[in-house]
Amino acid sequence: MKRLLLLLALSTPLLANAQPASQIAWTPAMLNLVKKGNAEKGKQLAESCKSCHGDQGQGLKAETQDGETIPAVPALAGQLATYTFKQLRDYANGDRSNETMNGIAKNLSEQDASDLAAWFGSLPRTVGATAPIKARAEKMVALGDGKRILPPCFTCHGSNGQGEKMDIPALAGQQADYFASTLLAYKKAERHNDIYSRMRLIAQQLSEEEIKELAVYYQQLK
Amino acid sequence: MNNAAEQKLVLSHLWVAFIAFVVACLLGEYQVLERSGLFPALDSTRVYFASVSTHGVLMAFVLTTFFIMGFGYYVAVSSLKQPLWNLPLAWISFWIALVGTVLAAIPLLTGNASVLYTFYPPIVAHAAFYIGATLLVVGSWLWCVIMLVTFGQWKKAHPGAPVPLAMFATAANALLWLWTSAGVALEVLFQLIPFSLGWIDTIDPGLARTLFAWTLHPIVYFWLIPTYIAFYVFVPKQAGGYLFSDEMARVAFIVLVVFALPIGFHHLYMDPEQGQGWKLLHGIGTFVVALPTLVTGFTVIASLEIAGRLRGGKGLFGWILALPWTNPMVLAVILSLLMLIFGGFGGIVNASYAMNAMVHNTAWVPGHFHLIFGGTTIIMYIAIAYYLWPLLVGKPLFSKNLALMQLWTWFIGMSILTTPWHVLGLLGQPRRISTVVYNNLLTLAWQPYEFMMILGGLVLLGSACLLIYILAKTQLAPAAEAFTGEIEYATPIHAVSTLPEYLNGFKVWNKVIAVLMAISFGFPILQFFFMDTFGSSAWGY
Repeated sequence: MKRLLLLLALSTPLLANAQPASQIAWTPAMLNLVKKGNAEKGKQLAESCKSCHGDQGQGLKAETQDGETIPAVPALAGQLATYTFKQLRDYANGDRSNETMNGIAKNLSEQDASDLAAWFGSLPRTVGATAPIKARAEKMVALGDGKRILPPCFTCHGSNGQGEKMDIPALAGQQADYFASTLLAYKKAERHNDIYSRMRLIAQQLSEEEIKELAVYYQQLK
Repeated sequence: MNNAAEQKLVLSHLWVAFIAFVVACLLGEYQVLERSGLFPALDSTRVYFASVSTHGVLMAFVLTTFFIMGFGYYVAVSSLKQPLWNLPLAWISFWIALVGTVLAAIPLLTGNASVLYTFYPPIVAHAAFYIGATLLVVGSWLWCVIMLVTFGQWKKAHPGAPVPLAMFATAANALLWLWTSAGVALEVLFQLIPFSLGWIDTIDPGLARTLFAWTLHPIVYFWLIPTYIAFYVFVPKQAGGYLFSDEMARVAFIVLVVFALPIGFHHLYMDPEQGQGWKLLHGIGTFVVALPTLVTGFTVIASLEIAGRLRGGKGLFGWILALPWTNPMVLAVILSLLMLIFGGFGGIVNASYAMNAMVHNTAWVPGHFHLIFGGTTIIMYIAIAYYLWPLLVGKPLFSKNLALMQLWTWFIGMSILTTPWHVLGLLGQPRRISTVVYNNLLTLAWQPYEFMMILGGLVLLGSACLLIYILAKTQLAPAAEAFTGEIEYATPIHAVSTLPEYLNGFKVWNKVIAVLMAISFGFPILQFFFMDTFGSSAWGY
């Protein structure tokens, strides 16, 4: 019995590490696949994305119709190709969950994902509607919060919210509703395709109010 | 030197150097202001790192290379008393280096080369930055060729005669630079340029850092040698005395050139890609290269003492007061040596593995290299400029008093800037940061020092502007009388009539360097080709 318990105890880490957060590793081959994405082919493929992500990949804010909330759709215009590619592959591999997107992504090849990423990356970012920006959000972006060991957002996402290599998303111009729901999903660990739990650890420390303020901040960033 | 064509060549080089210098000083002041966080309007990480990269490149590569080239031409012509070999080639070298500088400046100023002035991948700049830097180095290689051919021609025409010390040291520097720059040249040509152009997908940062370490230490001696030349060949005469020993000076330059090269791994003490044994070997070499600096300190102080006593100074220290403190060159050497004492002490800390571990990647390191480079080295570049300008433009120095004030303010500003910088390092402030955002008691304790640094930077900026003002006024203002002075090289107490070949040439030393480099860098570089290492993709900045 003791031996069995010991064996079970020693096997626990195996369970914890059963599944990586994402199957996408940035090998040179993978990076080259994204780099060589064909934007023209991506444009053709993206015809069917327009109904949700908009004509210019600007996304949609959350809406309530007949008492039912239609969730926000992310802006993809100007997003890092590597980031878009990774999300499409994570949807296809089941590492990120969304009923609609899981189904769509499963029918896209790696090359399709690369072409789509190239096309959306080539579109100009749109700047969202204006709402007053809270000083607290600006402070979080520029300074973080030492007491909660929260690094400033800009250190990873760039001083203009432009994103950084390899797959740190551009946040400038992102739909505020989508931004907020994504961070909330990270906070509740409903979304978990961030390597090393990078965003989950940060989002857990943020209050819902702070998340909404940051969403407004980034939507207005050019 | 009365040849107008050569004077124009020298002046062109020195002007490029000092314009780069004053622009870099302006950027430096912006950086201390931004980093302090006291002025939120200035906060910008992107601008900060573009600025700090430009500042580093202008100071470390442009100011130094152009100054050394211009000064070298002057020394060659004036000490050997013969026209320069191949003046057109010298102009070609100047233009290649200048075009390279401009080419590198474009990505730097547009924020596409914010990689600091060190070439450490996988952080990668726009290809134009690396191509521009390469052209600057190619220009300097042509200078090396001109210096070494001139040296060889003179020796052939004067068999058995000792090469004048100034030219001996200049040729030593040319040889040192050819060896020094080979490391970074290999890194740039075979790694960084192909990587930045997308021809290769990954890069081996360990190999790149090893090749850069090859260059990174001896390059500081390349910058330092003009300062030592001034110590040995100008200062004793300006102070009213004699050089203590010509032979000792040659020994110092030789040891400097030979041992500056195989010691770069003290920059890699905390790196994983090299083994402890190699680090120990390089660490020992680093202490050996402290010897010529001690010899130089001794010889220069002995020369100054001779001068002070000849001027009537008495007692143990009375000769110090008897020195001509109002001579810019003499004042500069005193201030330079003061900074060398403290900077040298800091250098020994850096070279010592255990102490290095405590200050590595802290603010101590930039504090150290600003003191020893911006202080000890540059104050002598400035003194050399004050000495050469009247000779080059044929007019007296615009104002000796202003020049003295400029040298004092440079010294005071550098002391105010670098003392708190060292302290910040000891307090744990990291280097290569643009802001301090952690908001705790430790970082609050940094603020008074940040404030001091702003003040120091401001004094230095004012001093740099004063330098440009004095040089421009000397050249442009109408002079009441023509300046008819001649360059005066110091004579040793005991004149040197014959020298063994190993103190009059570099053939044997070149072979010694080759052997030492093969020992120190052979295996550490080759191992990257034996081992199954994995390259890294580029990452952003």
